[in-house]
Order: sequence, then C-alpha cells, then structure tokens
Amino acid sequence: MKKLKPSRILVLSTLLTRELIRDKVFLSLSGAAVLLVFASLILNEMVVGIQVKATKDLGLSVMNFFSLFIPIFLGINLVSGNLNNKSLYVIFAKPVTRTQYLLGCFFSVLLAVACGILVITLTIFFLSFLQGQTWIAGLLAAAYLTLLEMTLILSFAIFFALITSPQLAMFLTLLTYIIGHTLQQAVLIVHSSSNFVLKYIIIICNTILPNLEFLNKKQEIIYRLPISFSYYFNATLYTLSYSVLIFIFCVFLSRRKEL
Amino acid sequence: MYEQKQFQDKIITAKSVSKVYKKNFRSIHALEDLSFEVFSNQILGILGPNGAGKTTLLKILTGIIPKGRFTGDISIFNTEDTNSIKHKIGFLPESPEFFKNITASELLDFALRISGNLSNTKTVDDMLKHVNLFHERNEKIKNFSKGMRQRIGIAQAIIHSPELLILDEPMSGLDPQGRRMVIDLIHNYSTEGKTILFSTHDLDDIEALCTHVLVLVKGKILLQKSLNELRANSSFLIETESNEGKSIYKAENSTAFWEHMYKIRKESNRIIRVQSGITEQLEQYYREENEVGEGKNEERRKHDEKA
Repeated sequence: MKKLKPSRILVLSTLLTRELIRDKVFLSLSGAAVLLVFASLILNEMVVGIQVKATKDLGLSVMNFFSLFIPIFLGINLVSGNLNNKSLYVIFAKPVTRTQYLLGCFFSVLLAVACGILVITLTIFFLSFLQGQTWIAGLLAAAYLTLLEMTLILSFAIFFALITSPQLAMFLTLLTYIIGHTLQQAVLIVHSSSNFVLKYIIIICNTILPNLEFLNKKQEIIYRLPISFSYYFNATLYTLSYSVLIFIFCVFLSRRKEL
Repeated sequence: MYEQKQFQDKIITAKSVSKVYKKNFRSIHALEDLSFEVFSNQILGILGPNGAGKTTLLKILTGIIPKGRFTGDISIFNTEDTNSIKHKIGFLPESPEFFKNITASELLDFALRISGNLSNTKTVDDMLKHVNLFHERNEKIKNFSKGMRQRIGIAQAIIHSPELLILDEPMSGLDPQGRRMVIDLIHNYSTEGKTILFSTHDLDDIEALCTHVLVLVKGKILLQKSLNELRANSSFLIETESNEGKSIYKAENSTAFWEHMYKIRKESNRIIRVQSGITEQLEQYYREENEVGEGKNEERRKHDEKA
C-alpha cells in the first residue's frame, strides 16, 4: 500500500476524471439518458394507473443501459487510446508506476460512472416527485447495485483494452455484459441437456465470467420487495473480489506492454 | 564558455545497455551494448539520424521503458531504481501529446503535485508567464498550436526544478523565438548546476549548446567526446575586419586559434565571424559510418547470395 502511494493515485485520478467528464461522449451520454428518462412522461400518456411504475421501470433501464456505455467507450479509450499515443510519455516520466496509472484510470472512470448514475438518479427522483411519489430508498439501492455492476464491467473493459484493439475490446466487454446477464438462465437450461459440448462451454463461462444477474434486483426494487442487508454485503464482496482478481491480471499485462 | 565548468558527480552510468523490439516475429535491435557516463553540470547532446535509437535511450533513462524491458544496467543518481528518483528528472518527449480536455494550468498543477510538491498557483502562473502562455492558461491543450504544445511541454518538464533535464528534440516545431527560448532555458539551467541531456538532428545545436556530445548510429555509440576535445582537433575560421579591410584566417588547431585571437585583440580588430570545424568533424563521422555501414550491407548481401 505504501508503494502504491494513494496520494499520487488521487492526483492522477483527479486529472483523469476532469479529462473524462469534459469529454463530448460523456456529456452526450448523460444528456441522452436524461432525455430518455423524461420520455417516460410520453409513455405515461399511454398507460393507465401505473404511471409511476412506468417511470421507475424505464428510469432504471436507462440507468443500467447508459452507465454501461461509460466504461465501454470512455474506459477503453482512456486505457487503450493513451497506450497507443504519446500522452503517457509525460505521465510515466513522472513518479507514476503502471499500477498507479491503471488504478488512476479505474477510479476516474468509476467516478465518471457514479456522476452519470447520479444525474439519472436525480432525474428519476424529480419525475417520480412530480407524479406525487417520493422514491428514495429503492432508487439509492438501484443506483448502488448499478455502480457495483459497472465496477465489474469496468475491470473487464480495462482487461480487454490491454490485450486487444479498442474496437474488439468494446465488443468483448459488451459480450461479457450480455453473457453475464443470461448465464444464470443458460445454466438452468443446459442442466437437463444431453449436449455435453454445450454443457461444458456453459460451465466454463459460468466459472470465468461474472453472474451479473446476481446484481440485478430491479423487479424487487420496483415492487418494493424486501432485500436483506446480507445480500448487499455479499454483492459488494462478490464485486470487489472479482474486480481485484481481474485487476491483478491487468497489472501483470500492463507491465509487459511496450510503450 | 564552458572551460571553467567542473563535471564531478556521476549522474548517469549506463553499462552494456541493449534494447530489442519484437515486431511481427522480427527482432529490431534499437540499442546495442551502450556504455557511457554523464556527470553533473554537463550538457550532453545526443546526436543521430532517424532510427539511431535516441528516443529509445531517453525512454530508458526516464523509466518509460522500465527495468526488465531492456538488458544492461542503468544507474541514475546512484540508484538503479528509476522510480525512486523520477521526481529529480524532467522530461520533454518529442512532439509531446497531452490529455485533450485538460487546460494548461491544470497540467502544470498536476506536474507539480505528482512530483511531490504542494499545489502552488504562483509557481504555476510564473511558469506559464515564463513560457509565454499565461493568457492561454485556461485554454484546453487540444486547441494549442504545435509550438505552444512544445512550450507547455517544456513547462511541465521543469516546473518541479529537476536536477536532470531530458529533452527529446526540443527545437522541433519551434519558430525562431521559441528556439531562442529553449536555448536560453538550457543555458540558464546549466548555470544553475543542473545536468541536461537532449537529442537532436541538428549539428549546429550541438555546437552552440553542448559541453559533450554522444553520436548514436544504428543503436551504437559512434563517438562520445567533450566539445573541448573536438575543438582541440578542429580547425577554425576567423573573419576579422580592420581599417585595411576584411580578412579570413584559418587556425589549424586550438593553440593557433587562441594565438590569433590574442593578436586580434592586440591589434583591436573587429571579429565578424568565428567558425569552428566541429560540425565538419561530426559530419565526417556520419559519412564514414554510412560508408562503412553500406560496405557491411554489401558484404552481407553477397554472403546471403552465396548462401
């Protein structure tokens, strides 16, 4: 920890967060997300009696969908783009190690994701308030679980950015997200299947890739079903341990990267 | 100008440094068995054509290429752990690139804080004034011209007052005013007792600025000498003007040069131009190496054909 020098990571993260949140991509994504949440007002004209539910449903889907683009577009570009141009010469000639740089990237993208989630959360809160309902606890729970999910996606995005081209890294990260959400159902389906090849592929995927559906409690949150405290603890532990493991691989890969 | 300088403390020691890049299953030898030393207060010019290995050498010295990615030993400020002494080094890369959404003052503030110094608005503003970018301090760097980027690059390299300044082709892309600024900076830094390394293609820069020169060709050291040594072996052309008109004198060595300078002063003649033969000497080294290199290539080709 002493060698990692948290103060240097903080200085680096501050610089990189400024770089990210001033990026046109981030501003466009946040703007589009807010507009889409507001579009639920139009949707409300089409549904009767469940206006608030429709706002919540659309709002949380927008939160998850738009947060996903921040690690995919900004995270991968930050790592991959800078590794391929000379802007890192200035950084690495200063007292910054590759591990510190990766941690700086990780925390700055995570902060940008948190900023994006905050903007969408405030928009949903404002809309539900307009519809006569104050919805705080569920909204905060959804925001927290989205942040956990994006932490996992971000570690995979950085990992792919280090081993392949930016375009392929974006595709693989998106694939991880899709597989992560469908894996739980796939395991149940192949359990009764006689196709051994498919069975083993699913088992391997299930072992390597994260189960993102574990972090999806959208229905429980919308219908105000109780979620235990131990679930939040387990979800946090699951995300942290998975991310740390992937991050260790990233550090190893970055040390081998030729600048 | 540099005759009185003392080069005592060893700042850099490089022993058998080699670097091989692997590209498309091919090995490219960027540096081969380089050994040299740099002492405090030196201005070392690293001269060489494109692909000579200048930038690779500077990347190793600044720790951009870390230990383990090259062979040999590098010791800077008596330590082999480059990371621990990076705050004592300032580096300007060739055609520097920066994060595009960061402003000039934010970059300098970052450079100051990451090197372990406290954030100081006055230091940042003074530095921006020094490189003539104070009015553009809140402008994003992506909107800067090439010359402005070079100047902000220099500013981020020196804001923390490094002991060792490493500049990769600092004059490239600069107008005459910008060149003057870099030349003054190198002179001022040198008078403060700091050590400076810079790479260049330009032989005139070497002659005008350096105390020592290291010529790199194809990843190998072709020549490493002080400029005084080169001066001792070079001829000089001295153009003077007196009441009787202009005259040109060619001194065959430094002794003859100083004798003639004494004579000029005694006769109160005006010196119009002094031209040393260092540039010619360096050019000759280049030429010889290229001829030898081509000869070697020819031999290799014949050998390959036979095989």
